[in-house]
Amino acid sequence: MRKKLALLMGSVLLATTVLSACSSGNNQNAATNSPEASQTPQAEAKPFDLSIVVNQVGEIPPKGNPIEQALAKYTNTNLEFQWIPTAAYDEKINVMIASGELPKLMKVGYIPTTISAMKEGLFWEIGPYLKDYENLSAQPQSYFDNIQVEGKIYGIPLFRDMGRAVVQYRKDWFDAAGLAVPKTLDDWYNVLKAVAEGDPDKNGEKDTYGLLLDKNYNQNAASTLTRLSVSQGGPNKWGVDDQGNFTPEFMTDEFFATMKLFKRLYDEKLINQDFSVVDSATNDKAYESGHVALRISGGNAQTMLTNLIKVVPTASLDVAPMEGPAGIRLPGESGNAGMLVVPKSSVKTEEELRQVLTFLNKLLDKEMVYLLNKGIEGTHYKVEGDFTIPLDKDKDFKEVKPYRDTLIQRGDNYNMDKPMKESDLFLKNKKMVRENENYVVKNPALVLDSAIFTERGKELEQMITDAETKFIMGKIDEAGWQAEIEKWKKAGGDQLMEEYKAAYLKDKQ
Amino acid sequence: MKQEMYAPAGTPVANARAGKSKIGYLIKDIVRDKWLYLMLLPGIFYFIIFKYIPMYGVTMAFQDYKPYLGFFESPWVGFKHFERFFSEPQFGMLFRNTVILAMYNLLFFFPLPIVLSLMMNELRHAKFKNFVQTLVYIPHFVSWVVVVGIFYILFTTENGILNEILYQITGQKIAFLLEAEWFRTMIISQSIWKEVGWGTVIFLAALAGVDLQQYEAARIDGAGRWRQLWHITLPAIRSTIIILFILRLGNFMDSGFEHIYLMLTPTNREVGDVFDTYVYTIGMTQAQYSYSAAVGIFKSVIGLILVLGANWLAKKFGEEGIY
Repeated sequence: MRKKLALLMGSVLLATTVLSACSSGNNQNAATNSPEASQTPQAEAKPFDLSIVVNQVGEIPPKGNPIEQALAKYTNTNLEFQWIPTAAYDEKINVMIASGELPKLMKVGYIPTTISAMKEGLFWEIGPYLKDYENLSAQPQSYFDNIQVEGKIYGIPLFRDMGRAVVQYRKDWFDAAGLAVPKTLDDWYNVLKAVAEGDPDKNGEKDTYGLLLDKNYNQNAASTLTRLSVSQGGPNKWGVDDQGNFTPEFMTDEFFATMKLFKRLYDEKLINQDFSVVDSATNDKAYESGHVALRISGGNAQTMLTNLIKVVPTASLDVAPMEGPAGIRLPGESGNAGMLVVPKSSVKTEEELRQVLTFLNKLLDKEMVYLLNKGIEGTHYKVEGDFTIPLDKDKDFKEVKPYRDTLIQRGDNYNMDKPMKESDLFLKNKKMVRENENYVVKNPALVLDSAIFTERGKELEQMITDAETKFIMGKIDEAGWQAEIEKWKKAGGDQLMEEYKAAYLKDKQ
Repeated sequence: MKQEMYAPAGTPVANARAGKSKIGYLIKDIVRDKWLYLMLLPGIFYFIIFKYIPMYGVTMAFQDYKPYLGFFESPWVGFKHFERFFSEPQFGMLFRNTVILAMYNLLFFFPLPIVLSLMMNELRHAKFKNFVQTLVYIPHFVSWVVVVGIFYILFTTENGILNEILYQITGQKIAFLLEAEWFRTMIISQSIWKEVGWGTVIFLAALAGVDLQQYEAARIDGAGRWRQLWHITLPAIRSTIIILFILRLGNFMDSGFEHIYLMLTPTNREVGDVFDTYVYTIGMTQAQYSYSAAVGIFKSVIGLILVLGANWLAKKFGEEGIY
């Protein structure tokens, strides 16, 4: 009996040694195939455990799906993704930071709470290491400039275009009514009125709008008010003069004129009356069912058209740049959709940090660029000549997009020799966004340090965005609006302007 | 709690107590009732571990809490956060909004479950009564997100059913969800819709305990339905009403964060922003944990004072109170 058992155990042991020898042999083969890995073959032998916290995009992909497997195999990691709903992402991250239970890699926004966490030294400063990583250091410096904190780099940005805003409009309606894309604010009013009241969908009912706003219409980088006011010559969030005096956008004439335009549009029911409570998803449905003429958007018009022609087969869309009386002018965005940072509490040693950075660097290798942008060949796309053709867009949306949107990639701007074959509209929109970068107006306060902003930036912002809504809805008049600005100044706005000035002058030296 | 535990068993022993030390008796009691005490232990541990130890966290309000320093390293700052809170220009508005909503709740919401349970108590047909009871419980299990969503669909100015009807009749639409003057009405009516049925549970239980012979006796004496209600039913559930009222006061300053937060819009914030939503803005989105802890303590202290006051008052009027 005993003998038998010993024999059995012996053979099991033997089998495992042989098997593991085989698998390590395979690993080495794989390692020599990729140039990146061959530099440090010994460290690569054992997969690196890597926990990642990012925001949820669409549905949560199942664990161990083909994309995740391909990612893990190429980068030689054990990936453990945690997806957090986007709506409450920042709050959840704040709680995670407070509780100290952090993954090895996480997405954070460039917001006061994470900035102060960076200053307090919760995350690795990765700036000095970047030069050792060929792909990471090859990315344009401007993307990194926009996420610096006191001149230091703490994360890798999730790259995004800087001049995304374009005007997307119903070409069929505009052509039928003989309208052109608006430039001045008067144009905007006339065009929106003409489209909305001219019954463009010819159904005899007054059920069309010129444009729709959602409850975030005046918030963050994608604010419609900012985009329109910049096109009219206004500053991007903050204006700064030669002496370093800062003026918020809402104290400029261009911005006020834009607000007055929207007040008029609201009064005459040319925009949706419930804009201050409505979600962008609800508005998307109205756009995609053919009830609205025009939108200012950072997305691609093709996405909207694809859904729109299912409802209105005759619809056609076109795009135009944000053009004002003085030519194309649009707000420059930060160039990222957040950034990936490495917490010190979970990544204890420099060696481990280097492993995380190696993972990030590999994401910009050609193989991974294709995986994140196009998915798996044969499943999500096929190669045809100099292009790739998408095979199943829905599948791509479900399986690949979650990773594309949360891990670093720069589309066909980096390490992609065969771009995706796309529709003319898609390419036109894309080209416009790229050319937009020549016309962007930068936000001078983007990376400036301010104590009051950290402490009550959110409150101050809310005070003004609420007042803007009230003005547009006619709850307060011009005097009331001025009073709100005074209130803002007293509540910390004055201090904010001073602190920006001081930080700006300090940076300038 | 301990007293409750050994009181029933303690009566015969009480006579033998004279002359011996109290501690000696205590030990004797414990040894004799060891199984009872053993059963008590999980409860005690529960309160110590999950209620009392976490209370150390309130010290955060007197610190400048930094996540990476933790409770023990963060610097102490005394009443700094309280001073900031009371001198905040928003303080008056928040206090007023919270108190007004709480008063509305007491005035309009609190009596309704009583009325409803009295009405259900008058139902003769048992099966119909059960059916109604089940029906009025259902909204309680619907989450606030869904309730607000339903109200949104009904009340929005863009194709909302109610506004369309209103438009057909009067030619006007009312922006129920946006207008500041409708905010409190909406909040209270949503609370009523969702929670009134559930609130009847305890009252119905109390009503079930009323002695039927009293009704019989009253009927023989010629009392009508209203007389019976006034002289038998209401006195029978009076102490239940008072206890629930006192408990309710303990949550006086809680406006129900989720509910309010979902209903807030830029145009009604001046009447809708309450302590709960303020704590969220400060604590969660701006990560000022110490400051929001201070606000939380302020709320709790007011709740405690109200409970103590109401209890004292209840006892003055000869009622039992909660302790």
